[in-house]
Amino acid sequence: MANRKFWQSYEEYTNDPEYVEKKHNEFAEKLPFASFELATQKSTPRRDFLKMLGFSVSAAAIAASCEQPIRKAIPYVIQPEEITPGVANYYASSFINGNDYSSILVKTREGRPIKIEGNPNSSMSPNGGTDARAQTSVISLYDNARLKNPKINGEVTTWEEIDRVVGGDLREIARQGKKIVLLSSNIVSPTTKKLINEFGATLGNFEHVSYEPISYAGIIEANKKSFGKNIIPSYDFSKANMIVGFEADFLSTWLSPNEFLGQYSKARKISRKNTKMAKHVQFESLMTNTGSNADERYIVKPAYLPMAVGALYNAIAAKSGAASLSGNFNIGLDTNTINKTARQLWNNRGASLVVSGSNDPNVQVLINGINNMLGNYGSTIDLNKPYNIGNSSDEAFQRLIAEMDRGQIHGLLIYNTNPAYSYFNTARFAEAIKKVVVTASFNDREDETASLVKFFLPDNHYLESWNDAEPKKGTFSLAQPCIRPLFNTRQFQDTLLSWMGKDESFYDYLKANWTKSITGNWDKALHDGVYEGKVKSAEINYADTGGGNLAASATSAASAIIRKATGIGDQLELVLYQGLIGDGKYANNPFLQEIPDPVTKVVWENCLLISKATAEASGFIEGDLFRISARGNALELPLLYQPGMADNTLAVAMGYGRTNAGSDNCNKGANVYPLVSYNEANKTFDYNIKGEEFKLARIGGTQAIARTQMHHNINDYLADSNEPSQYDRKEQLVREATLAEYKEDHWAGNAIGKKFRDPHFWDHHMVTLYDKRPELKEGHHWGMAVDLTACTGCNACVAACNIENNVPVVGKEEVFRAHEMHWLRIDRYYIGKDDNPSVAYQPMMCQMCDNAPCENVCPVSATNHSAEGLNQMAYNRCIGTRYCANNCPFKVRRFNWFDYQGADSFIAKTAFDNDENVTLADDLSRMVLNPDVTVRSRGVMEKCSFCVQRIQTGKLDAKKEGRALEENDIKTACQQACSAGAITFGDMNDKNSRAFKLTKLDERSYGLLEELHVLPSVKYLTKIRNTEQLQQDALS
Amino acid sequence: MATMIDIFKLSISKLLLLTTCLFLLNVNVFSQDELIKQGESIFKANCASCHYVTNKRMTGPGLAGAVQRWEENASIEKLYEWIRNSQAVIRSGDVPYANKLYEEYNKSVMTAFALSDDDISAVLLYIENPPVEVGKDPGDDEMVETKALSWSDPSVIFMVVVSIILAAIGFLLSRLIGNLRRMSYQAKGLPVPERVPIVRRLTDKRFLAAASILLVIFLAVSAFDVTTNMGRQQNYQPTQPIAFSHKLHAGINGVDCQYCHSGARKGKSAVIPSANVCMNCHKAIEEGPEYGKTEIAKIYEAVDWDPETQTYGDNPKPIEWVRIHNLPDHVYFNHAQHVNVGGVECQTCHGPIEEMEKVYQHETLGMGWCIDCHRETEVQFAANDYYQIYEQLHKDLKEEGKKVTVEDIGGTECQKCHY
Repeated sequence: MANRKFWQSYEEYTNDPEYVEKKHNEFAEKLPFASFELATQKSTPRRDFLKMLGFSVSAAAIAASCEQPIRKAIPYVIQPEEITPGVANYYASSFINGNDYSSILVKTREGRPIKIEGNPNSSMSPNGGTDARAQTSVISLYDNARLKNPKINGEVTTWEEIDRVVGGDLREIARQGKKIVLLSSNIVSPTTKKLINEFGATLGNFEHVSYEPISYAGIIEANKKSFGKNIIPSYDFSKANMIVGFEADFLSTWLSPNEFLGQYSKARKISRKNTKMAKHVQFESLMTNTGSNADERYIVKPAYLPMAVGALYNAIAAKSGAASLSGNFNIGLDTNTINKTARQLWNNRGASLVVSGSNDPNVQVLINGINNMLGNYGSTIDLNKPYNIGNSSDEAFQRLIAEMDRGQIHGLLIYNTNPAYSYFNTARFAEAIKKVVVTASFNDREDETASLVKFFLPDNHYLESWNDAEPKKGTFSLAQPCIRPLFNTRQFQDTLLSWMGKDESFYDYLKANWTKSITGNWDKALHDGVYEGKVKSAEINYADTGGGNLAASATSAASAIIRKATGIGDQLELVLYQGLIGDGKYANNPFLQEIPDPVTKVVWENCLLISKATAEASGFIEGDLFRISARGNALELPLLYQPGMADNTLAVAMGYGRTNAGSDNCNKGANVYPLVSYNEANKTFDYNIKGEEFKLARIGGTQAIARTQMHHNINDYLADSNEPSQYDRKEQLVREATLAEYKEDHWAGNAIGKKFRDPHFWDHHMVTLYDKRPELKEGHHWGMAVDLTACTGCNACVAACNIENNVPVVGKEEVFRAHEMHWLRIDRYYIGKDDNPSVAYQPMMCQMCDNAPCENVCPVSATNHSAEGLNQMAYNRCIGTRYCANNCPFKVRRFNWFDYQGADSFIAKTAFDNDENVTLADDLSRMVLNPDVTVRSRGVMEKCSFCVQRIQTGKLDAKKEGRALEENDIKTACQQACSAGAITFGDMNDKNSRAFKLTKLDERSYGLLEELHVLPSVKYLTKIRNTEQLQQDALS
Repeated sequence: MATMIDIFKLSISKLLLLTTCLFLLNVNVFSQDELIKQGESIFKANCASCHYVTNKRMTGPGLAGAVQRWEENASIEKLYEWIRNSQAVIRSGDVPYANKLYEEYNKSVMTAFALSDDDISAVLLYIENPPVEVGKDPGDDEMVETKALSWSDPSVIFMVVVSIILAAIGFLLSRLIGNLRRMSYQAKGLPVPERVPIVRRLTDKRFLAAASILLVIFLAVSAFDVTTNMGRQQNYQPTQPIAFSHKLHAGINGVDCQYCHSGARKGKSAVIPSANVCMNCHKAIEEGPEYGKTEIAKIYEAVDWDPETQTYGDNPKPIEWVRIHNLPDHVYFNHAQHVNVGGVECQTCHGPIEEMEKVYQHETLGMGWCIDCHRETEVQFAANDYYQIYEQLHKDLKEEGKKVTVEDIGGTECQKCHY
């Protein structure tokens, strides 16, 4: 066991001397005093000190002697019945933005939305969780870059004027019989679709085109060929015992990730009683978040991934007796791997699932064939419940550009899509749009596309709008406004209704449509947020084109695949993938920008990922700047080594490099959409770029990359010794076992935990400096269990924590200085050799040690222990010595180097302000702050509080009702956001609670650095992998 | 002297006789008053939200002369029926006057009241003997504007004068002693010591040292005092946009605190009532005893109510009250925990609010003050099942004869109030 290597970065992997020295330093950086040494060397520093002291004392005296400001208390004139100031209200709603969908609960305080939670009633959010995008979507409501008024040619105007001018222009175009097009993002709202159809009917020559830069058209095209159905079927990972993914990042970004994560966790969550665990095998070229969670991960070059699908098809065909595909698929593949996977799939036929993230219909046709042979249709795949997510057509958009180019389009309405940024041929789009007579944008900001149009008709934010959604056939949800529109904006649908000359609002229209077609019980549907029952009349029909043929389509797809892969050899390939930031529409969301990528841990930008072996073979070094040129476009990116990448492969995240996102601080990274191409034969966008299609050149110079992983590292060495400690700490941080080992012995992988669980062990074998603390047997003792088997590192908890606890955004420059403030970080560990390491994720929050090392060193006792086991932090007592952060072995404490959120009375934009000015200290941004959590000022330490405000609220609610506290009364923000159900929080003194059972009884449970006798209240559950053998690569 | 005493005695006995007679005569009057008082309380509880006792119309007619009108147009018996169930009277059609009234007041239905004959008679008696307008009570004006010491305060002036006098006496005495001693030396023929000028005494090193030590101590103590009170506003008594009197509402009229401050049981904020809560009563009460109509008119302006037409307009403006009790941002205080769970009286923290014409901050609201209370206050164990988890602690302390205070269950820990 001792030879297993755990590492987080290449510096650690190679034991870089600079890194090792830095690790041993007391503080991560020196104090930023330019003249610090100068000052101490002066002959009379004492006098300077006295001067400074005198100045600051008198300054403080002047500041303090000022009169107290008069504070007003302004009550409502008529207080709404449902609002009690100081008590939060929750409204069920839906987060809808193109292909992103979540059924949510909106927490409002005094009428302002401040937090998003998942709606536990919805089948689309299992475990009641949400993803990071839904969590941070509340920030975009208070975005300063939003358009505040409608505009004509950049001049502010009124909605009446807009209706008169634009409505009139459109009617005129319609009268002439010329064509008007509505170009929108994918729309999942059945009522909006109905309205658009009716609107189109009033105009006559009208077309609605859905366009998404990150397309799933390949799946739709494939289902047309295989089944004659123009659809994306729904998937159910929870019913699968065997999951195979081909570069499909279904846990993080692909199609409906939040839903899939819940299902996946359901299929894989094991306990003492239930040891059934689905196996997940992933074939991929870059390391996706999903792939990093796979039990077995195989690296295949991008060009050969379709070949792997073909090989798997043939291997399963051989078992099922179906006709094999002709041709040799075994290029660049390990035949044993394919055969093994095929065997496992075949053993689980009817309860397996094969998915591919490719947008190539030929690949998807073979995937359909494989799933069909395995009998997965009807069990894990449902053709009768297709998704409305991802239903954009690449072909229709291509056709639209051509028609615009030919001058055939006279009216173009753009709704929630930004082709001037995300279309690969921006210049062509810009040219084509000039030929359109009337151009209008409903986008919420003056983005890249808006600058090409005449009319700006800003749409409401989704939290200000009525809407509905049908993400999956038969799964309905409603969205309701939770705040009055902040600006003079108008909902897109209301604008359409107004142009149709109707008096009704979209609310009336929506309600009428629901009561007529969906459910009679509108009030209940609105209250619950979702409706998944019987539908009154199905108005939505899915195109059934007929003529599908599985076998024939597979044969032609196979030959196309072989043709495409022939002759690729070892040439360099480039893959574009989707990151947390999405297709770019969330670029101006600083919270999302600062959440590290789950795998690379890079923030605020994208980089060129490459395997270290390939880079070294070409003489490239991490941080070097490169220029990629393709099809007349060029872009510059820094190089970053990524373990587990296929050789001769580059990967870049899409969605960065905006130019008009809003704040300049958010226009970071490079836009890689110009590298996308359109495949005429497949009718789809292609995100893989062959070596002959692009040029890579080192342009000299380097660029530092802001990465968070090495900033706050758990001490894995003994302070005064370079010898390995008795227990190899790094290895003990993440404990692992195979499923077979676990079935045999529940203590598998956690032998040391077993030893520490024995009460006699401490007495006989260990010496402790701490006094024997009376056990917290009375009252509550809060504890948390984190299941490492369930955690996929998706970052939803980080986003939820940031918004719940007013954790500030610091900006890229500050991240370079390791000043990021996240109370909850996810440590990503690589295990084994860097060519294909296995990966483990470990959420790190304050461990709430009962013998907390931070408490002992605080000179002012600003951090101390509560009777409920909380390691408390009193901000107003803290004087900022940072000793506690230094003494914390888990490195979970964060120091406020600047006034990031305007907590201090000193005015913004002074020397006290954050020099980068990405702070969200203005009045609009501050509207999202949680009023129950102090906004920390400059110079104080802060850290995870176990969401003490939620603990106190839960306790108070129980007291008000005069009953004992129940387990579900209190949920921490991270726990509530987790779709995988990996986090369990509760009272460890309550013998019936899950928290007690998991932290104190479960054999998988262990605390970090237990040998230090810090007695953490956070326990982790051993990571179980459904594989034959753990990664065993040696140190050497 | 004797005559004086006699006169005194006589007057006392006369007075006694007179009062006894008056008392006997008054019994009858007294019971009538009692009835009117009873009628008044029934009227205020049931009728006042729609009727005035004057001629003035509100939702329903002004009741001055109502009894007479019913006597003329129908009968007193019908009036009793009408009060018990007006709709039945209207439906029966027996009383055309009743139907006329119903039409006249926009068919607003009068609530049916299950009152006894005695109750109704009492109300009618009250209507016939409405309260007489009472003049201002001058005593109300004597409210303390501010409780902080100021130089104009008589006690301060007194103390300064006394200290000056004492200093002068001390000076004179010391001179006297000095002169006497000198004289005694002279008398004894001893050498007379030289008179030390006062300046030299004051610049003496020992004196200076002692004085500066005293000065430092004084400065330190006052600096500590100033800094601990920094931002605290005890006795803060700002002028509010409306001269609202808690003495009148909570004290004299006995309105329950939580009728207006309804948030105190539910959440962290006790809530300053929205103006529509004021209108629950002030739709009927247009005039106050102190300021007449001026202050109440400010509520009407806020909710845009026209008392003449009895209609609301569409231009309401919220009232901008001045906040008196301010806690710093890093303090979390929840009213529900104290009022609802802890059963703490409002007055415990807000002082004798029912006696305040103009509200001021009674306590320091400093942390020491909070902690003191948490150390002494007993936890309401029996009443609340939540505290079951502390059963053992409760038992143990009971055996020792101690009570479980808030502090014992962690009520003085940082993160109970700071997070």
